[in-house]
Amino acid sequence: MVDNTCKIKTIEKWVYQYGDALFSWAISKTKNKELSEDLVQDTFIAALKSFETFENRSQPKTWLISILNNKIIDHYRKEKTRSFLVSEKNGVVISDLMYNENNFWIDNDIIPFWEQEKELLKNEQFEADVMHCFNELPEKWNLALTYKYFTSKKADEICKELDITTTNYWQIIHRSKLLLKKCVEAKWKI
Amino acid sequence: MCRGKMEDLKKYLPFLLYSCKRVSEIISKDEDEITLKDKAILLYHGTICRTCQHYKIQSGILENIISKSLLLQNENILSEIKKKEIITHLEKIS
Repeated sequence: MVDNTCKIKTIEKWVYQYGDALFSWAISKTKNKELSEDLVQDTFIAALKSFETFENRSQPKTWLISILNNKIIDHYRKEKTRSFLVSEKNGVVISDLMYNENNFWIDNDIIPFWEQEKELLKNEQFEADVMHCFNELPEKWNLALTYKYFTSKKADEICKELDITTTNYWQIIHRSKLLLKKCVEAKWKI
Repeated sequence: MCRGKMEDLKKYLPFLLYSCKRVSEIISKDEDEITLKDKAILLYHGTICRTCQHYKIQSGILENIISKSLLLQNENILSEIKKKEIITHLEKIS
């Protein structure tokens, strides 16, 4: 049984240690400052209430992010303001349909805009379109990519945190990229 | 380019047994996760498959954009006022 004062002191310390990271994480998911602040506050309240369940096996930050993720998902379920447009099942089908029965590309045409790499990387509209497509990925895939690029963690660490196998993780990354490619091409194909 | 020519060559050259699906899966991985054998396969496959060559460029562009965009969001800071507000709230409910 953890002493109440000790519990409060620990959580207070975490507010300063991990508050910015949690807030950034929430912003990356919601794109809304006020909502993100509220979600971070709710995360710390939930952490205080369930402090006894925190096992030192994981890092406090990992534990807090998992609580925050649940808060974000709960929020969208309640509000229904955002849907991850592509379900995981459809994502698998869409990405598989990009190859023929012998697993070679079905569409071998190169859409010209991809050849302007330098310009694309500086193009704000292109970035907005990629991120729009990114936000439409299946929930779990979006989360895996966010972990990968937001935390710069190695694959094995991310797999542990997401409780998936390495093979599954790379499949998710690959299928996500195929979906992003398809989505962006639909927007940029003239 | 990949279809047809590659599928014909596949019959005779065992190192081309990797399909575009397999090759593009390797391309999607991080550089340090790719084995030497897979690197060799990529090299062989890349010389005759323009679509996979382009997929490599496309994959790089997408990675670049996403990491840039997400890392910019990583610079957000929770205000001191909000941190204090959270702590006050926590003390109240405890």
